[in-house]
Amino acid sequence: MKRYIEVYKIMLRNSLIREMNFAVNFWLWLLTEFLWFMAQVGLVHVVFSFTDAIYGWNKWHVVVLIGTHQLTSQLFTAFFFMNLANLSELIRTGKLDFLLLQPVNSQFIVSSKQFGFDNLINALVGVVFIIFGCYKLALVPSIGQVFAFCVTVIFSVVIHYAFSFSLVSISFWFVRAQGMIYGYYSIMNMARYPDVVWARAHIALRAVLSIVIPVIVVANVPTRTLLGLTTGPSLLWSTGCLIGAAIGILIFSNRFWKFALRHYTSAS
Amino acid sequence: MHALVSKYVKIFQLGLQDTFVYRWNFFIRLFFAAIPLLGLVFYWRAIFDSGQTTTIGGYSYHGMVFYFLLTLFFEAMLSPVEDDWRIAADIREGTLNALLLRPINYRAYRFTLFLSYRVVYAIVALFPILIVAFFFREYIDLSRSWETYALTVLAAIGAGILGFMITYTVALFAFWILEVSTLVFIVFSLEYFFSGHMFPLDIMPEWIYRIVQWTPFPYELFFVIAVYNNKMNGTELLKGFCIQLLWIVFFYLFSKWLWNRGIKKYTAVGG
Repeated sequence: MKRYIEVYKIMLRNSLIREMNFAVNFWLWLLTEFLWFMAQVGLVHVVFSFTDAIYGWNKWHVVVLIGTHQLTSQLFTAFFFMNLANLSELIRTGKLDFLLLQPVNSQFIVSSKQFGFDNLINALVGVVFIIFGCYKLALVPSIGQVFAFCVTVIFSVVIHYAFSFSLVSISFWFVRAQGMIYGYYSIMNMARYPDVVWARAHIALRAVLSIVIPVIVVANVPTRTLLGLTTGPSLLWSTGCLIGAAIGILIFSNRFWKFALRHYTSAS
Repeated sequence: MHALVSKYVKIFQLGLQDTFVYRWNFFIRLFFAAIPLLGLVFYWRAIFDSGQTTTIGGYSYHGMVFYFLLTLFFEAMLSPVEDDWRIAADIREGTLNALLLRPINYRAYRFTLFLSYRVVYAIVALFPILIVAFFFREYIDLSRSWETYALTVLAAIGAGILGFMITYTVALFAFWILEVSTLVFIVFSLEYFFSGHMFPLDIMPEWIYRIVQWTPFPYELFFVIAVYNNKMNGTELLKGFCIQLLWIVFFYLFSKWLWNRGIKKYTAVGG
């Protein structure tokens, strides 16, 4: 464990040096991601100009939801995204061999080599909107709620990571991962909807989207925990799905990675 | 003239073969593009259910779902996929050298390849799109006059050319910056939001919509659907086509300028 912390420290330092070398790039990404988020908020504004509430969720509830999605997805992006996006390049150029030779867990080194500092700032933007939403709702969460929120956010980040890692592992077979990255975005975008909108969906579909591809719970559970929202599916059940999915997909991603690696070595 | 045509026909055929290798990639992309439809259907159902009106910005619930089906269809038919990466790679990895030696125009070469990618993509996309269409058949309303269909095809051709021109222009920045992905992503996010991919642009507050109308992005997608949905009448329609054409000309000239400057720098470095 201690060795992993040491290794991670060195990689963090390298990432920081790297970011400082490409300062313009850093600011551009920061700005783009920020605008992207503002566009989401803009869409909420547009939607709520036609209605006051969606099955008990008003505008500021949804703003907190979007903020929470921003927080979890940007934390994931900060720690892992660049590495996962680069995986197919590593495979194509054969640089992966070099990483596999390192005396640490291969999934760890492949997933965490680069750190995105700009995303950390954008995660904070998400926090600002969560706080602003709470302020508008005239809501002060208890210490317990804030604590539960933080814990569920960690599980959400795990889901983001494990889900996308499983997706990009497919690039061992299909060399271009760009399609997979696109897939991650297009699926996870559904996490920004309040869970109540799925009430009309077939039970089987709801089950799949809560456990296998848990877009229904990934941002909703932390949000509802923080706000104490009781509308929609039982919070206890949803939280169970969140934790179960996080652990399940994480284990799956590791198994799948090892399986894919076997394919890789035999291919070369 | 005949030699010229047959040259580009050859490139077109090469493009077909090259891209067919990546048909699975296209297939996966389309699959992922279709999934969010599922969420959109339920999300908009909930909004319409809890709202006070039966229409939003002139769209009924069915009209709204049909709108998103149309975005899926037109994006599958028109939008460039990975053309930017390939152009940037040509420049960065020096593949361009070999192309410069040949008596072909690089832009025309790329455009021909773009057309052949579109053909492969359309063929690959056809079957899945029919499945999606069958699944959502109650939302589909194809009754339009033949004039509307003709105008839609015209708008779609313009949208395809504009999309290519923007992609090509952005990719040419690879002459100056090693990693164009930041730029590509910025343009992509502008397109994603202002082309009408996320929601119909005319449900936005009037003043924002007015401004967005002057940017190139709606003419890559939203305009085509608006024409198909008979959202525009005489002068407005004409104005739309004019703006689309102006942006095509703008990006044509801009890319030409970039190319001329870039190629000087490129040959200077390559010796």
